[in-house]
Amino acid sequence: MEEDKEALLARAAEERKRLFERYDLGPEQSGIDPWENPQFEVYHCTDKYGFIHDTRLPSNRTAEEERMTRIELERDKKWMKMLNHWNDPKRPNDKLRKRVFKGIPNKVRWLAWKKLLNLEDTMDKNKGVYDRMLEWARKYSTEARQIDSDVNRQFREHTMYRQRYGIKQKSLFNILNAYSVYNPELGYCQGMSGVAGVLLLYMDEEEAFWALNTLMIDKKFEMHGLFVEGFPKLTRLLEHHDRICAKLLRKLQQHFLKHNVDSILYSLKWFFVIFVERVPFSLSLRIWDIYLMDGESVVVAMAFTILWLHRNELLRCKDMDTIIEYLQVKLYKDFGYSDDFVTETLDSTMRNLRRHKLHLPPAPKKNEKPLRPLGQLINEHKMDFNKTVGHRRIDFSENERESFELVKTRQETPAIDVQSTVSCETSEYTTGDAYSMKTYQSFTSLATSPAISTNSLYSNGVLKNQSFEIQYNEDDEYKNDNAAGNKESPRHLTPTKFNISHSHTNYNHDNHNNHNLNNASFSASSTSSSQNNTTTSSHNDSSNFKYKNVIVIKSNGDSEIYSNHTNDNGDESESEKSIENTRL
Amino acid sequence: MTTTRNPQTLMAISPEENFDFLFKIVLIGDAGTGKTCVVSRFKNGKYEESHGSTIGVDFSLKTVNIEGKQVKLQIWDTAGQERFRTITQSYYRSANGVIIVYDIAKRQTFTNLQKWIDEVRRYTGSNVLLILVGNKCDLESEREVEFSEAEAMCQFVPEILFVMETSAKENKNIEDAFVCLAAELMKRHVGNNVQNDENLVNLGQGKPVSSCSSSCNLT
Repeated sequence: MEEDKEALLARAAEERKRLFERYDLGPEQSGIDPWENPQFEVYHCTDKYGFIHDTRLPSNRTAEEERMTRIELERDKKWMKMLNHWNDPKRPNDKLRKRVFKGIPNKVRWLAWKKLLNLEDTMDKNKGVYDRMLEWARKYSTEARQIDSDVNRQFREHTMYRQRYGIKQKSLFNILNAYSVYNPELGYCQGMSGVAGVLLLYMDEEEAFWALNTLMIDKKFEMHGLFVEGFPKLTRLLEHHDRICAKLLRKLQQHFLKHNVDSILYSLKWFFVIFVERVPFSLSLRIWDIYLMDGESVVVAMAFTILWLHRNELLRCKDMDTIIEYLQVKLYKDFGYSDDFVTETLDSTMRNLRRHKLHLPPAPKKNEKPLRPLGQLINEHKMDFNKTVGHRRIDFSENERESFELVKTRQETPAIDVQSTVSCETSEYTTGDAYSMKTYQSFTSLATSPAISTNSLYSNGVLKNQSFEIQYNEDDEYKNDNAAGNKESPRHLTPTKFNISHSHTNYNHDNHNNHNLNNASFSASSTSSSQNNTTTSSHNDSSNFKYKNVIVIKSNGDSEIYSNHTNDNGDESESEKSIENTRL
Repeated sequence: MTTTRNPQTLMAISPEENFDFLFKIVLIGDAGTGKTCVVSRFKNGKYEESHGSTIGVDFSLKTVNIEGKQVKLQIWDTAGQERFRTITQSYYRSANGVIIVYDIAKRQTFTNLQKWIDEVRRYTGSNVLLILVGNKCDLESEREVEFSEAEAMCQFVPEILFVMETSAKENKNIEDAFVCLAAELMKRHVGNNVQNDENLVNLGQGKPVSSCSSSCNLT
């Protein structure tokens, strides 16, 4: 199988040349396999964003749709005015913010996104650069093969990307290749075609190139670290996500751990393509609006918001299969909440995470940013031979090894946990597994931030009717009376206080009593503050812990949405039910 | 309620669920070889023309009936780009079966098979079953890999149980590939538990394709 090196390089160069040529020739060329141009019944089934559906859309619009159209027409005008006076110093600070959360009207989205990303400026400063990069890409891109393969399947059900070698496919192919040359450290990573694909729906080729660059290297987004070899930023985001869940969605987190669901399984695509193809497209555009304004804090908050909104359904999923299916497939088909409601919830989540200093992940590591200057021509002779000819490497680079070890450790964490809690199965929400998880994590220094182990808790959140604002009553926040540095969480204490019997389970108290002792001073305060608005569930300690994390709903207003949860709650998440039934 | 666990996968098996076996199968192979289409065809019976490239790992489930037993397959579809191996490799380790997919119309996806096999050797348990799938066999006019070459590789690499050419687009051999693998997994699983089972196949030894219990046709 030893083929001549020169011949392989020549073959790769020929292949690259041919690929570019085919995009140059466009859709009229001969030799396009018919399967590359899927036929759809276009006109009856294209939605307002340009996506073509398998089935015809309903011919009549609902009253609600009519109403939304009217609202959006009004918003168009307001937005045009605002866009024309973008730098108006008299504009109230939160006006833009409020409007973005309400959703940028689709018609002005292309203008608004350009403003949000400050593209005009960037392009002024970089005249001619894109064309040069494209020229270099034709000669030197090592990624053309991979990009071609991904362009051929990115948003193929969208009218703009439907035609093989069509104009948008060509643009997508071009900017990804050009960017791989402009930022050779990053090159091309699967997922970037999704990001660029969304941008190109609202921008032309050169604009999308610079928008992509902004998303990769601007401090607000820094997706470079997400896509670069070894994915250093991914592990950081995952740890942060876990930290938030440990604090605010502990029961769900335990449930996931029990069923071997590592957050990387569901959140990777959320982070990489900002929720595209994991939530309905209309919702992902709304998230993109906010993301382009606020940056990565949106991703962190949205990940939490999804889990939080669906926590009851997820708790009812009784194995890994249904949990993953729910998060990967079901939510994409039908999110279950209106886009407006989701963005409103996202807004309050973001504010609350900020209040608790959880809105941003820890500072980036050094290897998350490009180390070499961008847009420099690299020496042809130093180009990676294997990459050029498409050979797979077998050895890991240092970054990759680090990432591999981290992912492996994450994989093992729940696995160990599962083994250790086999005997706890009968008790639905034992803390045993969370505990062993945590000790293991801190042991492996995965959870080194103090945030995960402090004892300050949210409590008695109130979901108000109008603004959907989730308020946490600061007075009820706990103070850890124990010595600083005590990493125990108070949840192990509550069983004694509540006198919850585990006698029907095999739950091993002995293992946990030791840890409980440290927190003796906790139990009184924690229970008294929660007794006002919660009923004691027959479940155990961790559900009690949960009371303080769960948002209590006021009786006026949102009961419609939330009563669904309450009504079909069943017996499974009784602790949640008791809270949601409690009206203040 | 007590929960039992599949000793190999550590997955919880709840008693009310209606299946006899649960196997974890991982699909790997170069990007663009059609892994996701293979899974989609097997799972939904459909050829998905429009899906993006797989980012990280996607997951799906399918239960098949083999010799009267309900066999639940947990299918992990992985991203093919080299960069993603740091993530995907950690999923090989607990796999019962691995399907390596190459594209018969793209030579380098076949050339890379050795690397994929090395990765499997490095990261999976010793009793994992490995099959080779040459996808897109509908693209006969663009063929760059002969089936005889794949067969030769099969002889050369003892871990490979069998090789099969498939077409997700034209629904050729997709079901057979999964069912053959599942049947073999089932056989070995039973073999492990019943020590003197005649059908016991020694681990690491390929079994002739022709004796595969399902209706796979490799001609």
